[in-house]
Amino acid sequence: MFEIKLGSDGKISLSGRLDASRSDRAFHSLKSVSGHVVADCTALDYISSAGITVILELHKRLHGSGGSLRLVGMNPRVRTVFVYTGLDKVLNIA
Amino acid sequence: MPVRAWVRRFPRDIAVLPDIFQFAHDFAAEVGVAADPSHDLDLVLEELFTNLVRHNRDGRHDIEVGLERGDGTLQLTLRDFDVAPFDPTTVPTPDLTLPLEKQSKGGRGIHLVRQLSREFHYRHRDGVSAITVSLSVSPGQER
Repeated sequence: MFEIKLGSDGKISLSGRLDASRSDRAFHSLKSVSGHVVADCTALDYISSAGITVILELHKRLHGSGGSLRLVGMNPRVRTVFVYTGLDKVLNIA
Repeated sequence: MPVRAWVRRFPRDIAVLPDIFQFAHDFAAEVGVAADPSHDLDLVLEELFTNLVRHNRDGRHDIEVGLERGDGTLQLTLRDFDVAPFDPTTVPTPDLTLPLEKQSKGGRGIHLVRQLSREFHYRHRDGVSAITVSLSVSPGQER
């Protein structure tokens, strides 16, 4: 299961498992997101390289239009995936 | 500890990933492996399975997933039948020091496999590609 909840105040929450079988749907669901966005990852249990690509595309699109993306609340296992791919130094991860 | 091994074949379709994860979770529970190495097992399985599906587009057969519990290890083997060689162990490591816009989109998945695995081997014989990865399981990660 993977779920994205879109708030009205620039907050989104990601929960479940963002793997390759769910990445296309996630990508399309996030197309409507714009501006300065805080993504709550507290309930995100798993992410793979396919999921990371979704996050990166969102980051690039937001920055390209003057916005930003901040990722908060990652559990250690999810954070490790960002660390191993060097993206903890590129993305805004609190 | 006796060696325990499970083998199952899955259709070469990204949509079956949840079934592969369930297979791996059932195996991890059966052989007494805790959540952390089970998470790594999922990650390595996903990256290698999706790699086979995407790179061997002419492949027609199901992909075999084998899991084996050794002494202090979890070993997984993926076999792809009747396919041309494609060695994932030779995929270049992406340059993670480059600015994001200059980084290659490919290679992150295999880079993750390298980071997580104790051993990472590839063999192609008689039209069968076999990828074997060994993950460490420390005593504290057993349950």
